[in-house]
Amino acid sequence: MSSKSNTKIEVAKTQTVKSSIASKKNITLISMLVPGLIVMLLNNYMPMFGLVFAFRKMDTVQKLFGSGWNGLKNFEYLFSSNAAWKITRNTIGYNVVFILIGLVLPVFMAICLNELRNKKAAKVYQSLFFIPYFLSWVVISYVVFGLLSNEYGALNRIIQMFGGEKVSWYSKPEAWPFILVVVNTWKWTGYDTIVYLSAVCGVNQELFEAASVDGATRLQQIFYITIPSLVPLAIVLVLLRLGRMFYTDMGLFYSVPRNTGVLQDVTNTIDTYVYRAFTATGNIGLSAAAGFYQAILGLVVILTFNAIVRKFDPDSAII
Amino acid sequence: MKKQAEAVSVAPNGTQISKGTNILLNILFVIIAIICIYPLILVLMVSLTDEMTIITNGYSVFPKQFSLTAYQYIFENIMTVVRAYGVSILTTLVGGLLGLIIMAMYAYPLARDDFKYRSPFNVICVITMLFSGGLVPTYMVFVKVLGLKDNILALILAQLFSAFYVMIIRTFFKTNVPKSLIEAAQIDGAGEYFTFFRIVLPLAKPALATVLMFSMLNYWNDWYFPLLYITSPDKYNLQYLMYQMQTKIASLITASSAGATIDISSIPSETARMAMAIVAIGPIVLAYPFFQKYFEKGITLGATKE
Amino acid sequence: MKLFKKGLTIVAGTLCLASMALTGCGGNNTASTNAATTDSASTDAAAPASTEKVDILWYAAGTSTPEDMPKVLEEANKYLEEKGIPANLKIEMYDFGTFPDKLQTAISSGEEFDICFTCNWCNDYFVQARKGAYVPLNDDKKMLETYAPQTKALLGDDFLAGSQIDGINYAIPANKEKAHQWGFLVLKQYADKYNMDFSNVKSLADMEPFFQTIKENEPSIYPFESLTGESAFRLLDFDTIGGSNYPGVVYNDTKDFKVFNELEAPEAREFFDLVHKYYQAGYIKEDADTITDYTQDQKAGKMFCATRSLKPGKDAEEGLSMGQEYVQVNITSPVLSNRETTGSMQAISSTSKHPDIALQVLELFNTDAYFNNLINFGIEGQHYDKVEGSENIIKPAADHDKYNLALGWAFGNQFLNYVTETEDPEKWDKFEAFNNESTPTQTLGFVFNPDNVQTEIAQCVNVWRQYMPGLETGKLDPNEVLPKAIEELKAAGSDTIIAEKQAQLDAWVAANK
Repeated sequence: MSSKSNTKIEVAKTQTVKSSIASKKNITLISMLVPGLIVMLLNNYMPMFGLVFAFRKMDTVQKLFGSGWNGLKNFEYLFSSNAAWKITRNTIGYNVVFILIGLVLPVFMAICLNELRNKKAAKVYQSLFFIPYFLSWVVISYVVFGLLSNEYGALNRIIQMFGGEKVSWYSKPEAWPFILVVVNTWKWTGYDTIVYLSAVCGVNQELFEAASVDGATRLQQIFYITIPSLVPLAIVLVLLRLGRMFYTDMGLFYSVPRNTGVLQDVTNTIDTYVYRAFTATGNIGLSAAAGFYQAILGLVVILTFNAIVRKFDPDSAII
Repeated sequence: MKKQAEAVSVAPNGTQISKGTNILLNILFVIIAIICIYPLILVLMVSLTDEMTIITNGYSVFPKQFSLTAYQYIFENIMTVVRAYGVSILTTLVGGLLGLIIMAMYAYPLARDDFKYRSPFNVICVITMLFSGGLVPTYMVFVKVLGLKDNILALILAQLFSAFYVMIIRTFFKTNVPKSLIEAAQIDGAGEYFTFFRIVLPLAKPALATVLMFSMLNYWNDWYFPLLYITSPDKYNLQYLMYQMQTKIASLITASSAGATIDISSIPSETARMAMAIVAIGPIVLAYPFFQKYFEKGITLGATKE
Repeated sequence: MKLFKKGLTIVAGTLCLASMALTGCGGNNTASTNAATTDSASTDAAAPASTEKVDILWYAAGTSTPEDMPKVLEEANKYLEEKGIPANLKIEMYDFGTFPDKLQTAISSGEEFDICFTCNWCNDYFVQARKGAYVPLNDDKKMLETYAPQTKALLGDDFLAGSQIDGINYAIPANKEKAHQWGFLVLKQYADKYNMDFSNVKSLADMEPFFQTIKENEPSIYPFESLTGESAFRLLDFDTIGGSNYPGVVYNDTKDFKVFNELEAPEAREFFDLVHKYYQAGYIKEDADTITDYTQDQKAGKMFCATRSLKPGKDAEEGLSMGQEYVQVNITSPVLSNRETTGSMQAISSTSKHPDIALQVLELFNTDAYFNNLINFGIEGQHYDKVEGSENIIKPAADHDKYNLALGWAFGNQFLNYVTETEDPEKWDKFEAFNNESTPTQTLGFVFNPDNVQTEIAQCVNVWRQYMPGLETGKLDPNEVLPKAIEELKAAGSDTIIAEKQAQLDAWVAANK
């Protein structure tokens, strides 16, 4: 490469110097990517041969290259049942709600936290908001049970205190979309708030001072300076979450409702459905097929929305 | 004179909200804080309750009878717990810091408009978020190709890199590190690495602190990778030790119903579960205030002035 | 773009590398699978000339590895040397929750080990054996006969036949109780208090007056435990050929080998009605369908009656575990089925380099009382002491907590086990009698191969999990739910599964009866 450019120096000096600087820069930048590439290679790309399982009959590695293709048969169970529509609806429905809440609420909280006049208190709030994130889903499922159970549930005790009738929450499917959204919001809002807070903190303070000298109110400053500066981050987070739109958290949808059959209409998602199928059949092919299906759908969604974003704000597009 | 006084009072207040709004916000935040912390307090109190009291009365923040049996049960073998803390701290620190550097280095070229190949490398990164080879192939690569069975390195490597965090860092580089600054540095003859470590990274402190904290938390909370890769008990991390204790209690119960003769009547299963949650959260929850100092306002301002 | 191509090359290269790594180990695996299926296993064995010790890794299940395992293994290896078995035994233990995952990854990735615990409810024997994970023991090479002849004699034909897959044994069952018998455990305290006489109880319906007594007089006690998957539905004792979370059963004493959907059976309907009545009467906990574990209530002595799989001394056993006293009420008669014969087994891994030596270790384990009890109870004087004047009754010693498996049934020949001082000294004689009393199911030895109906099973399981917990615990009204459940199962392909079971069973009957 370098000898090539050496010979060219004679021919078109200025241009080559420029391009050799550029290519040197590109090479240095690529060298920065190398550690990350190696880790991805080991962690993600090498195991990807496992995607083949989705189309194979046998589910052992020994026989992966020996046994026959199974075509799309491993995918069949995802589509051919009555449940297909329900699990897809639940998966997408909950995720859309989660994405919306996960956008609006944390942005609001981050801005408000940043605006508090008493900075010490703001720090204490931040720490406390973050606490739900620390509790594992298993522990959360016990806490939720502690709140909702028939016998000792705190909620039922309160209802009875006000003279109401006990409610059997775990046999009320209609209540669970709400419960799941609340639990999920409770667990993740603090976490997301911190991400946005870091961006809010990064906003150049001179902008605010300039605006305030120009007579802008604080609310105007928030709308014209803070929020616009959060948009790129918000776009990236939403895009990434859209890519995961066909995945759900087993902890939330399996542990928290305690795998209760009656609630299955509103708690069964692609992941819980596949998990039950997998535990009964032990067939890796079935779960590999589901994973493949989720990934492809995610890719389509990401590409679509990325293209839209690119039209309006090419800088924020992730691909 | 009057005008001047007004100007003075506007300057500090112009970038602040009014007192009334401040009070309202504080009330709101106190309520949210209570909602956030209530379950943790409940878990703590349950862990301190007498097992029988729970069976007869259910969970309560004000237990009728206190007991430390659950903690005695967990700390029966104190050395094991201490060692597990050691493993957890080691993986959390090493993995968190190393991962942060690798991810930041990956994110930086992707944030540079003048980097010719940023698009393909972006794709390579995003793909890892969507497609996964699955558990068994990953296990095979780690154990057969890399030979990392029963090796703490497996725990570190498994969570070293996350496309999600790379994208967060990249966005931050793009929006909060002025391009002019990088160009100026390069005109001054600074190399790419110098620019990256000395100029870009300091400017991105809030984002880096956030990602570092999140990835350290992932390391701290990890019980799944030890389950896969670790076999010797002296390499268990804290979460896995807790998981082991929990399944041990559960399996004693299974075993006893499957025909083994074990006295499980004295095991504080319900309270121990909660006590384990408390023990596992313990130190890491205290780490948050340490990261908080990076969430200060005006870091960009300070850095450009330097 | 050029670089993107480069990137692609990298990815492609990786995949190549990965597949090379695979073929590398895949090669090994094929070799060892071949060894298992053809004859090289015994050619290996035919050359035991070197007396060099080989490592034998045993994955055992039940609890996490106890602290004093190294000490016990040291003793065990000394003894193996004395007995002339060139093995250096290593046991890795995992609790039942962790074990299936651990073994699933170990087996699927072709990891090298020698012996593992396998059964029909944990580390699925049928699934793994079909994958080729285990060495066949009674094919042309007659591994079992060659290296573990006494074990073979000990187990007898019914145990061996009952754990075969298409005529091949891939694992050695633990010699323990051979039959199951469903019935109730009742808290003795209240049975005595209200002078309850259970001698005429023949079914769940007969328990009603007792539940009523408890409900009326003991407000803090739950009359009846109703647990998903372990409810009184089991008293119907259908012969579930294949998995238990999707339909398709025969009767234990079936003459025509007709496979049917158990939910459509009249007695199932009767049961659901009855248990729903109990639920409405308040005999069953309100949120029964969400409860996964009644241990707490049992330990607190709040559960009056529970459905259990019984065997001689079950009342004393569970009483000891829970710190309560129970009375045992037998309902069904003892039946020998695949459930028991494949309930606890040890298999030789097809990745084992020394299946012959591994088998010799198991043979010793099944026939040598000292060795068996060493692994089960630890070292005398450290982990247990013998009760004075007795050879086989033991009590805990100082270091009891550091080695306390209590998993005799999960290891091997249970009849060699010591009994603890709190147990019935005649435990093993009673077991023997119980075994002799049992009648085998008509389908003993038939194993359903689910390969052709994976899609249907995957779907049915989800429907089953949606309705069955509510039905069997009595929470849901069968009038409303049962028809719906049956209909949805049909939509999910239950008829296809049943037809497949029927076809396979018919073929089996034609070949074996």
